[in-house]
Amino acid sequence: MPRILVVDDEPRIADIIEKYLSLNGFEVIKTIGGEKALEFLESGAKIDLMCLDMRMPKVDGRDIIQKTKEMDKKVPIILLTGSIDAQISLEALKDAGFTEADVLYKPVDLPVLLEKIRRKLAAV
Amino acid sequence: MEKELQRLKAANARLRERNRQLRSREQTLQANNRRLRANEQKLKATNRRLRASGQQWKAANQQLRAKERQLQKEITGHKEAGEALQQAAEEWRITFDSIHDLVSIHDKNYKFVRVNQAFADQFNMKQKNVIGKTCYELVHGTEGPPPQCPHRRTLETKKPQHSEYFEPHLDMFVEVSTSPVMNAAGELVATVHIVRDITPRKKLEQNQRLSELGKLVADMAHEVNNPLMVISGSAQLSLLDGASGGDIRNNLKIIHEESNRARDIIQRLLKFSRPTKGDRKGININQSLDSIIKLIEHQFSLSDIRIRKTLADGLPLIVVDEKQIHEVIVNLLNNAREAMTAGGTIDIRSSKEGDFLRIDVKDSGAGMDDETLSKIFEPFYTTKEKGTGLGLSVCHGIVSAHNGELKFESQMGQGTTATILLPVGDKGED
Repeated sequence: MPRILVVDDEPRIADIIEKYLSLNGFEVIKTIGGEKALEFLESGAKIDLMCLDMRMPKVDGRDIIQKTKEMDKKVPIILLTGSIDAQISLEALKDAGFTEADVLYKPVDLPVLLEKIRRKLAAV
Repeated sequence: MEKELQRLKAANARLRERNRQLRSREQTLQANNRRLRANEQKLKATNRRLRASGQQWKAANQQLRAKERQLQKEITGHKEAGEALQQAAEEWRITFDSIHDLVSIHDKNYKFVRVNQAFADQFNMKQKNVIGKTCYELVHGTEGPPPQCPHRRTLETKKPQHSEYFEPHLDMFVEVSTSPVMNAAGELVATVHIVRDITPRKKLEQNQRLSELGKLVADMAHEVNNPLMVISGSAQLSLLDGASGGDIRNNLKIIHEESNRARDIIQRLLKFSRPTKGDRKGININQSLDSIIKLIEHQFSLSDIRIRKTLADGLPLIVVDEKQIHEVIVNLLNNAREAMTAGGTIDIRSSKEGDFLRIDVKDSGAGMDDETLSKIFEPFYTTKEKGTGLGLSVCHGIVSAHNGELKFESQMGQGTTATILLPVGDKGED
């Protein structure tokens, strides 16, 4: 059963994604906020994919991407964001090795998220 | 004997004659002598006179020489003064023409008396050809002074005036300042205009505003899309096969709450962008502060925070929307509380400062660094885990709409003082 890490600072969003993915046969671990996500990643626990919210206070999506690079974790990441702006520009994401296909804008259609996850996992 | 007598007689006669002759000669000599004496005295007098006039002439000559020297000095002085004057005039003209701003001097009838080179160049004219034209025909292309004309206001007030506007006739944003030129009798005889092309600055400001707006829209999208994500997700979960009645009910409750959250964010944003004038009436700020303190005192004491008030007596009423001002003060108090995680004292002061009523909220909390301080009014900027970043933006909007000022002073580790200044006897913007 693939293990998905869901990172969002909004507990209700994390809950919804967790419920939906669980119903579709995934094992879901959720962390509320970036700091908890970092703790989890540093614990060395294995995950197959990460659904990552970009804009979070203190530790944000970019920090976590940076950390996974430093830790040399080759984990596929799907980015969730409420908006793209100068702070989290598409250019910056491209520089970090992402494409527009890796980004989902909130509010997300859950079946679209599911499809993206399946494709990512199939490509690994 | 006879003969002897006769000889003696003759001798006597001769002697008499001789004596007469001698007397006559003596008289003549005496007369001569008198004349000579008279002449001598005349000569002496003449001599005296001559001596006197000689001295007078000498003095007169000296005076004349001195006068001549003085005149020569004056002539040189005049010449030098003339040259200095010419030099000064030349320096003035060079300076006047070196100014890049458009400078012009106008009479009371809006006519140009003098313009600098930059001014003439702007209109592709010679300086002398501008003189005598009216500023409105040349600068604005109108038949009379436009409403934004500061010259007219200077004529009315005899005081310097300032305007910033877009001048379509020149296709530029201009900053115009006019200053009165007064004569010794205190009458306004002319005005000096300085027109500055501020088009580049204005364009930059417009771009900055657009970029700020862009950031605001992105922040706004993020803030609203989060509750929308919850609403949409909860609805999608409810629509799945196998969703129980209890699940659906719970999801609907979440949808309702998140819809309210989105509504609140949008309302606060609207308030920030255009604070409503609200319902304004005269209030006693000390009474308001008392009632606010009563409401929150207990709650604050649970976080080990004491509120100390120093309210000035006899403060004038201020005409404000009481609810809005309450919101600002409560917001400042809540921020103060959140900055004092270890408890402490919040000082509230009211006082009068010139034409303003002043309210200070001082905490002994963590304080802010300069970067945070520079961003506190930015919408969506927050240092709090669950803050919307709209609180102080809204407060700033409310105070500004009351023609007041909201400012902060803070130092890391030294606490923060928030100050509200509200105009006394001002009904705010109309």
